[in-house]
Amino acid sequence: MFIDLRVHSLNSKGVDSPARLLEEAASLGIRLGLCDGIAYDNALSGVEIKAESKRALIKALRTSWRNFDYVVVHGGEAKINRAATQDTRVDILAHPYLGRRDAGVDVVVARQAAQSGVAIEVDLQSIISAKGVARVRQLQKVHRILLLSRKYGFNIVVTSGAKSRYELRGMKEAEAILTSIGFTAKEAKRALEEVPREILEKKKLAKQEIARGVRLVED
Amino acid sequence: MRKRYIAFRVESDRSFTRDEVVRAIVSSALAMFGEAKVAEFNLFVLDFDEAEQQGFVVCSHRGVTEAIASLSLVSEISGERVHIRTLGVSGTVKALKRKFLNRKRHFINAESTVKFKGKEFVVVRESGDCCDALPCDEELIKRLKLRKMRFIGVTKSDLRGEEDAADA
Repeated sequence: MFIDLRVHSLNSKGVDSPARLLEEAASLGIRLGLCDGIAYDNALSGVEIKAESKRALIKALRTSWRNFDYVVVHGGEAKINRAATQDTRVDILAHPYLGRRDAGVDVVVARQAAQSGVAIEVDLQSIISAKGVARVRQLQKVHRILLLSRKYGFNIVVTSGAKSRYELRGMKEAEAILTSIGFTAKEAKRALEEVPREILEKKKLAKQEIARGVRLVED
Repeated sequence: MRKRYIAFRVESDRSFTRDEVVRAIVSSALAMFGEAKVAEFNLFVLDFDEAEQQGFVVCSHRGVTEAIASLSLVSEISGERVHIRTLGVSGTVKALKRKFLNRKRHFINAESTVKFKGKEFVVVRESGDCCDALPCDEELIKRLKLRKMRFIGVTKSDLRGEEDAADA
C-alpha cells in the first residue's frame, strides 16, 4: 500500500478538508499522511518545517519533532538541504530541487542522508504538472537523485505532494509513473511503500526514547 | 499481439467531451513517451461515456505500465484540474465492463449555503458523503484558481461537525 506522506489539506496550503482527502485516499487504496503541522487523531500527522537558516531549523525541530508522526523539512536552498540531512530528527527532506537548476543533492548531502537516515523526497506533482522542457529538467533532477541514491545508499521516498483531491495518485498509478521515468520495479515499491513504513516505525521508536540510547518499553 | 483494456474515470469539477479527453490522453502519451514508443504500445482510446465520464483505452500487453502512466500524467483538460483514475485492467472488453465500468458515480446537484470553519460555502453537488462547495472567502477562491479548480472538497460529516459546534 502506497503511504503518501506529504499531502496538504485546507488547514495548510490545500483546498480540501482532511476528511475529504482521507475519503479519496480510501477509495484509491492508499494511506495518507497530512502534512499540515496539526496533530490529527484519525490520520498520520506530519509537519513541514520551512526554515530560513540552520539555526532556525534546529530551533523549529526542538519544538516540534516529538509532536508529530514524522518531520519534513522544506528543501530547496543548499544550506537547508545540507542542514536537514545532518540532523537525525529530520525524517524527510522534501523537494531538495525546488527553485534550483540542479537536483539540490550533491555528494555531501547524499553521504549525510545515508548516514543520518534522512529520506530524500521526490514528489509526483512536480513531474505531473510540468510540461515540455520544464518536465525534462525535472526528470533530469530525479535521475540525478536516483543515481546518487544507488551509489551512496540513501533512501528515496515518493509522495504525491498533493494540495487537492485530484492530485492524489493510487499505488498502481504511482508505480507506473516511476517505472516509466527510470525506477526499477523494486525501487518504486521501496520508495512508495517500504521507506514510508520504515520512517513511521523509526519515529515511533525515537519517541519512546527517554534519554540517548534508553527507550521506554511498555509491557 | 495480445491486447489489454484499461478502464478509467475522469474526475474533475466539470464534465468533458470525448474529444477533449481523447486529445488530453494522446498528447500526454506523446509528450512522455514520443511517437515511436506510443506506436509500439499501441495506445488507443476506444470508448468514452460523456454522461458517466468513464471509458477505456486499449494497448498492447507489454505497454500496460506506459498506458497507465500516460493516463495518470494528465493533470488538466481545457484548463481544469483533473485526475484520470485508472479503474482496472482486463484482457477482454466484456470482463472490463463487468468488473470496472459497472459502478456509477452519481452527483446530485444541490444548492445550499453552509458554514464550515467559520466561513460560508455554497454546496454545489453531492455524491455519497462527499460534497463539492463553492467558497465565498477571497483567499480560498484565490487558492482554488491557483490549482485550476472551482470547488473545495468537504464531507457531510465536516458540515455536520460545524453545525454541532455552532449549536454548542
